[in-house]
Amino acid sequence: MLLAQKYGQKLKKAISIPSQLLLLIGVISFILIPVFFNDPHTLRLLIMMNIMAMFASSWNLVSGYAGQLVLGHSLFFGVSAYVSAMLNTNLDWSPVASIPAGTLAAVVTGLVAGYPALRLKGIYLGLTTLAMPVVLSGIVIVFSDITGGEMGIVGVSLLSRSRIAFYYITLLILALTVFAIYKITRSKTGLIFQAIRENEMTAQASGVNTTYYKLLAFSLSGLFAGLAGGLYAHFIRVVGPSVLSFGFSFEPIIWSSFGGVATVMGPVVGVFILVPVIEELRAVLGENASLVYYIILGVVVIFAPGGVMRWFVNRIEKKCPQCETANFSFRRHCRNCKSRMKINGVLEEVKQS
Amino acid sequence: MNLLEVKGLTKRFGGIVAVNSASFDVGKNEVVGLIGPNGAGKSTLVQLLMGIIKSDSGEVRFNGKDITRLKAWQVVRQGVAGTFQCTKPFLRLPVFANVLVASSAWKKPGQNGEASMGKAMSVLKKVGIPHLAKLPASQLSHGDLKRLEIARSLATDPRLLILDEPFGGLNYNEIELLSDLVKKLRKQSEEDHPTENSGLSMIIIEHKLSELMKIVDKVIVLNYGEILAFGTPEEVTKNEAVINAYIGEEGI
Repeated sequence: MLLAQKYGQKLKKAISIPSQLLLLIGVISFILIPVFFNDPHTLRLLIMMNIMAMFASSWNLVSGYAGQLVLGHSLFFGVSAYVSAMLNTNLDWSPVASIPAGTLAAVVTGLVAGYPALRLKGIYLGLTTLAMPVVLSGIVIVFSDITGGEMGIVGVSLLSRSRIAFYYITLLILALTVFAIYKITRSKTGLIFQAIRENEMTAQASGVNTTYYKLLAFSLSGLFAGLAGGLYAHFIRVVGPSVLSFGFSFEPIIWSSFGGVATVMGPVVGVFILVPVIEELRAVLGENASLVYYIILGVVVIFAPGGVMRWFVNRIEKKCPQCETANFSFRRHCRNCKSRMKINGVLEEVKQS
Repeated sequence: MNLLEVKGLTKRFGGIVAVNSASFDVGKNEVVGLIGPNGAGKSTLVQLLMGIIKSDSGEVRFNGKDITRLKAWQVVRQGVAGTFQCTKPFLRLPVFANVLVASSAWKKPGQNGEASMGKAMSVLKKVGIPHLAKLPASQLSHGDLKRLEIARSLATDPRLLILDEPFGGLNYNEIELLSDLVKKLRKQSEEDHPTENSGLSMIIIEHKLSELMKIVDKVIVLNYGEILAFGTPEEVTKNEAVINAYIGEEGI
């Protein structure tokens, strides 16, 4: 009883902050969605959204937080997808073993791909990483007898036969990924990532071992991207060079920029909006879909440069000018200290006194 | 044994010898001024000490340990911290986080997260900007940024603090505040650390000689990468070579 009371109070405190209430509503609705919409097409879309949200979050960690521009992020996803698919089809590993193995391969790839970041910065690092998945897809085609070449690896086994179960597995792993990234960014490690992003020289002059933290950012990013890649291979059941393509490398950048770079939920929000939108647009407009898609992206970049999530939260949430408690923006008085929320309200009080 | 011993330190950039066989030492609790005309190699010299650029030859010993070949972050961990001439804060991070990076950058014996936070706040108080702790560094004035740089350096618990033009671009009021701060730091270190094995030494690069001479024990004069004179402020200001090269006939 006491425990229930304690958590009840915690919950009440949490949902009085607008952005947290929104998050809670989002989580509950995504838990309930399969109850109402359980046709295979919708479930397939939802599963892909979960996987891609992990992929986008992993890019956001290394490039958004740690500031190491990665333009070839499909490398980590692709390595994991190929490794788990090959282990599964050639050596008959079960998905439960091949997905972690693929993820491990992506972590190692992260360490290798992070090596140039020790010397290169900004766009030069970006271009170097951009080349990496291209080189790898060349290698894939050369060794086509084990990688399947351009046709890819077919007949990868499913992680779960039931799509509903698959959906909940990916939703759980996504939730764990987001929670892990949240914890990382709120920790000392996250602080140092951001310090390196802001100014690497100053970080070094503060005693930060930048080599260690940059490689850590790359390997953590590889970990989450690798998880996504492994799940993808065991869901789509075909892994071809398209998972290493240019276009696929840019997707997480587009999603994250749309949702909000260097925010925990931004990439997830970006994926959860853009992936269904492009799917619907394709169904309705066919070839013209990308035109509309890029117009939407352009509008967001111009009017909400910090991403849609920050834009929206700034609309519904205002901080009290006195005590800095987060309030719904429609409130006239702060729920904590009861002072007037509007700045001109503060001025009125000053005039009166 | 002196805290910092520099022997024959040399750095060339192509054909230019930026620092030519510089040798000097800094004692415990000593404040040393580093002066010289523009392009004399002052900033290069301190960046060599801080490990930001690597020397071509020569040796730097700190507290008896050879630190010549260490990386910048390793040098900081030995106890040499410095500020930059152009302030380079973590612009989008709050002031407090700027300092917290330095106070928690590596694990010190017996220090937990809370201690790092306390340390960060205490150095902000020391330099006089605790009220700005929550603001992003990008919103700070030039004078406050200079103080933030000093706070960030102090947060690493240095034994030797290097200040590269702390008064550059400040008005008289701000200079006074900052030079008071330097005096305060020095007094505090003498009071807190009467023993030989602790305390805070400083190297200060500055062009505003009148301000500098009040706070230093010794002065190094650098010209074309070579040490022209090294001694007490009185000795240096009377040195003919220094007057010709830098100070001029009118004096300070």
